[in-house]
Amino acid sequence: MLIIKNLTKTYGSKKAVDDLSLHIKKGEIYGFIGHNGAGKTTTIKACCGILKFDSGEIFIDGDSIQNNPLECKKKTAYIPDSPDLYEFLSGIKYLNFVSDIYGISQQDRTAKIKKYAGLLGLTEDLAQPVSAYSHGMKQKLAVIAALIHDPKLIIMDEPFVGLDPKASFTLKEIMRQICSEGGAIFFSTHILEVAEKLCDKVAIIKNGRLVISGDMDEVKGNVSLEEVFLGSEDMDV
Amino acid sequence: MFRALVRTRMQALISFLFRGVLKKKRSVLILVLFALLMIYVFASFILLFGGMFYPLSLPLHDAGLGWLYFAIAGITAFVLSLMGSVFSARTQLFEAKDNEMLLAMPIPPGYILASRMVMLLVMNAFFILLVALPAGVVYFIRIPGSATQIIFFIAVFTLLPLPVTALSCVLGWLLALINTGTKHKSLITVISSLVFLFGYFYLYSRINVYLNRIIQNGNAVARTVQRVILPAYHLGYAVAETNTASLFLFFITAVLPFWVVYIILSKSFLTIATTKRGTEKIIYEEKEQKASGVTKALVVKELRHFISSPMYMLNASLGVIFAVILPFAVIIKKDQLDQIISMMPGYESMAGPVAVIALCILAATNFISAPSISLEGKNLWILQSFPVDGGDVLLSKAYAHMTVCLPPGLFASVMLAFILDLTPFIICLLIAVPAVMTVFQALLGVVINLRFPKFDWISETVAVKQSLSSVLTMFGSLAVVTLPIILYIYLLRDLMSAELCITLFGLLLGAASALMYRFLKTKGNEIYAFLG
Repeated sequence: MLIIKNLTKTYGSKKAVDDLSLHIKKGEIYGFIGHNGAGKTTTIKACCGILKFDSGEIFIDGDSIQNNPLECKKKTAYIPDSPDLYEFLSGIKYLNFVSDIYGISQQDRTAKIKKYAGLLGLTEDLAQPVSAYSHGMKQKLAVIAALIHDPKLIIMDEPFVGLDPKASFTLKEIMRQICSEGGAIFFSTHILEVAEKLCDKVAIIKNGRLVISGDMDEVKGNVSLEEVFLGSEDMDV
Repeated sequence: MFRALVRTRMQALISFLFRGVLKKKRSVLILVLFALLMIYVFASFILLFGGMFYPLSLPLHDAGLGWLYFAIAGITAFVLSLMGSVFSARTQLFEAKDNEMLLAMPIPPGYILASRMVMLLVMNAFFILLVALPAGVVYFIRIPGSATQIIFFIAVFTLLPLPVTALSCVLGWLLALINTGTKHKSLITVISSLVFLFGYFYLYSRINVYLNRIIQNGNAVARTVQRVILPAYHLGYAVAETNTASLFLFFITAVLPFWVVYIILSKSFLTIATTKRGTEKIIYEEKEQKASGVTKALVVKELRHFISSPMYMLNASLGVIFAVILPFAVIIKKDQLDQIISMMPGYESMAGPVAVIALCILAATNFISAPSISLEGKNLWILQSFPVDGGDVLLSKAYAHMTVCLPPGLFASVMLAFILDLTPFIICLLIAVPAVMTVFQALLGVVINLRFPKFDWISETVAVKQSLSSVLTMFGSLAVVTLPIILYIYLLRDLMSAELCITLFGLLLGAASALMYRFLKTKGNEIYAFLG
C-alpha cells in the first residue's frame, strides 16, 4: 500500500531523512517511532505529498506521489500532529467542505458523519465554530474528516495526543476495522505502550536513518518496545 | 518587574508595526522604501493639520482669542488619539491573549494593567504629536512666543495623553462588554466601523465650513468652548496667556481622571480579564447534508473566511462600498460635477471615460485575493493534502474576490450609464472595463501572494494589512490604472480618442489576466503544492 524507497530530505546541510526505505502492506498498522527531530514528520509529510524531497521514491497503492499526486491523495487521509483546522467554519461545515472536495454523496456523508461523530462523541458540538473547540475536539474532527472518504491508507502524526481515553479507544477500534477491511495505517507516536499493543509492524528512526524495522514481535523479542527504543538511542547510526 | 512588563509590551508593539520589515536579511531597497513610506505618512499628517491650523492662527490671535486656537488644537488632538486608541484599549486591556499567562505569574494585576496603560499613553502621545507639532509650529512662526509660552505649550500637550487614555480605557471596556454579549460580532464591527468612517469623511469634507465659522464667529465659539469644555479652555488659556492657574487646573483635569480610571480598573482587572461570558452553545441537530462541486466548495470556503473577519472586509474591500455609494454621490453632486467638467477646456465630453477610470480605481483598491494564500497560515496542509489541483485552489481565491467585487462594480456601471449622458459605445466600456479590471486585480493578488506568501503570522491583521503582497497588489494595480491616464494626457491625446485609449487599456488588462490565469493553472500549481 505504501512503499518508501531510499527517501532523502535535507534542510540546508542537515539530513532530516537519510536513505529511508519502508514497506507498509494492506491490512497492516505500522508504527513509526523516533525521538523529537528524528525525521518522522518529514517522512510523513513527504508521503502525503506536501513536502518535496531530494531523492528516493514514494508509491501509494502503485501510484508515485511525485508523478501522480492527485491519485495518491484520493486514496490517502492525513492527520497532522497539530490539528489546525479552519476556525471560521463550524464543525459540520468543515466536514461538508471536506466531503465536497472528495465528491462524497449527500447520503454517504450524512451517514459517515452520523457514524463517526457518534463514535467519537462529537455530534452535539458539530454546530459550534471550530474556534470554540478544545485541542481534543479538533483532533476528533480531524479524525472524522480523514475517515469520511473511506481512505485506503491513513497517515497519522501523533494521532492520540489530546484525545480522551474513550476517544483513544474508539480510534484504535476504527484503525483495526480499517485494516481488517484491507486498508493500511502508518502512524507516528511517542506512546510506546499503544504502539506495542496496536501495531503489526514498527520502525524506529534516529537522526533520519532507520535503526530497526519489522514485525512487532521480531523487533521487540522478549523485551518491551520501550527497552528496544531506549537501546536504539545508544546506537550509532 | 514593571520595567520588564513595559519592555515586553514595547517589543510586541514594535514587532506588530515593523514585523517583516526589520528582518536581518531584508534588502536595503525594502528598508528604504519602508522608511520613505513612513516619512510620507508622517509628513502627510503634519501637512494636513498644518494646513488646517494655518488659517486659524492669525485671525484668532488678532481677535484676542489665542487661547481658542490652542483649545481647538487640543480638542482635535484629543479626538484623533481617542479614535486611534479606543480599539487598541479594548484588545490590549481586556482581550489580550497573554492575560491568563501573566495573571498565573506572581505579578500584581495592577502592574499588568499599568504596563498596558503605559503603552496606550505612548500611542496617544504619538497621535497627539501629529496634531500638536504642526499646530505649535504654525502658531509660533506666525506669532512669535516667549520661552515660557513654548514651555507651557509643551507641558499641556505632554499632559494631554492622560485624559485621552482614561477615556479610551472606559470606552474600550464598554466595547469589550458589547462584544462579548453579541452574536453577530463581525457584522456589528463592520457596521460601526463604516458609520465611524463615513462620519469621519463627512466631517473632513466640511472642515472648511467649520474653520470659516470659527473665524467669523470666534467670540460665540469661544463662549461655547468656555462653557461646555472647560478643560480645553484652561489648556488654551494656559498657553496663550502663560497662565499658571490655568496650567494647574488643566493638570488636575488631566491627571485626576487617569488616576481614577487606573484605580477602578486595577481593582476590577482580575475579574474583567478572567470572566468568560462566552456565547450560548449551539447544539447540532442531525440532518441531511447538502453536496456541492469542488470549485463551489473552495470559493464558499474563501467567502466564509472573508465574512468572518471584519478587519479583512474593511481593509480589503473598501472599493466595493465606495462603488455602491458612487452613483448616488454623482446624482447628488451632478450639477457641481458638470460645472467642474465644463471648466476644463477640451475635456467636456469626458464624463464617460472619467467614470470608467473612477470605477477602475475603485476596483484597484480591493485586494481580497492578495493575502488569501498567506491567510491559510497553519491550515495550509489541509488543501495541500487534498486531491485538488493547486491551480484550482489558487483560482478559487481569485473567484472569491470576483464574487465579492463584480456585482457592486456592475451595479455602479449600470447606474452611472443611466445617470450620465453617454454613447452606447462608452456604456459598453463602462460595463466591461471595470469588470476586466476586477478580474485582473483578483488574479494579480493571487500571483503576487504566491510570490510573497507570509505564513508566520500570529494575527491575521499582519497577513492582510502588513504584508508585502497586499501593498504591492494595491499600489501595483493603482499604478496600472494611473499609467494610461498619464500616457493619454501627455502623449496619446492627439493620436487617439479617450474611448479608444480605454478600449486598448481594457484589452491589455484582459490579455494580462489570461496570462495570469494560465500561469496559476500551470506553474502556480507546482509552486503551491510545496509552499510553506
